[in-house]
Amino acid sequence: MLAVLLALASAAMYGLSDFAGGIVSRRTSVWAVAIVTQLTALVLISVTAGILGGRPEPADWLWGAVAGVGIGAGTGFLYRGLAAGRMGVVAPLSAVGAALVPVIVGLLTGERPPLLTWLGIGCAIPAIWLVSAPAEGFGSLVRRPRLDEGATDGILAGLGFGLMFAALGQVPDSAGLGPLAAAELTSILAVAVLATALHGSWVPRDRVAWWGTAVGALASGATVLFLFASQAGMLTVAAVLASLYPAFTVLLAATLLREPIHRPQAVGLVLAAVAVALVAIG
Amino acid sequence: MSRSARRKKGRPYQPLPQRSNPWLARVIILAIAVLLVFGSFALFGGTQ
Repeated sequence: MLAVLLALASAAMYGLSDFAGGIVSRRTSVWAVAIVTQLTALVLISVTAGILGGRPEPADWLWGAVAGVGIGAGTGFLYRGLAAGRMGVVAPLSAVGAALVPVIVGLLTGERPPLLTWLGIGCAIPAIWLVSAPAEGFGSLVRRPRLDEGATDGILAGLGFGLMFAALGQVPDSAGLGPLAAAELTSILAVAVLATALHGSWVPRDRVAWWGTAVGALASGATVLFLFASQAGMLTVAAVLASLYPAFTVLLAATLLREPIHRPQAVGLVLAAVAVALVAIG
Repeated sequence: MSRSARRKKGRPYQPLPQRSNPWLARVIILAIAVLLVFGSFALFGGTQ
């Protein structure tokens, strides 16, 4: 149950950070916000790692760096797809991929969730898709299913975020938070390289980009909570529940910005609630 | 065992599963990382 609570808290913080990041990114370069976010996360996690201690092995640093590659590539392909106007395909594919990769890895490492948990995972995957697909994107998918447009970016972004969850799941609790700091450092380098390749302005020049520090604080808290959840329970459960973060983003947008919840999203929210209940009982 | 005793007993303790077969999962993780690195070079390199 502790792992479930930690994973849900992680999802809530990821959702809140995405919500805040979305607002900030409307006013300045998304790449600059991403860099400030990752820098803040690096500082906060490094300080916390120093306080909490830990004895990371060389392999733990490697898993952290691999997770950073996942964060950087996931961010890059997500932004690439969004910039090309393929949100309807890229966003849900990336979110579902983030959940599926650690499930497969968890199963291969010997995790065998009970039946109810499986049913919960079965509800969570379509829930993540429905909630993260924007209304116009979902509509266009229904009318004219052209998954090929943006599918590559969406799948690769999903592989990236899934890689982050799966690689962090290999870090034992004895390692502390040092490997997570390695992940953030690697992701900063990766995001800078990809932003340069896309001719994006990643140097934070205006004051608005520095609002990303709040986003970074939330994102780092979310990642730390996910790490603790994966160490307290099954990677499969922690990753699927943490991947429900779009549900929290949608709820925040509906509550604070009065954005409408469209029917597919409402169905997704209900499915997400059922998934959480089933996983918690299981 | 009576029904009340069975109810008090609750669910048995379920220890976390041993990660008995980690190497295959780790190979897959590293393969995805390599795929993403090469995919990034291929797709992002083409945008320049």
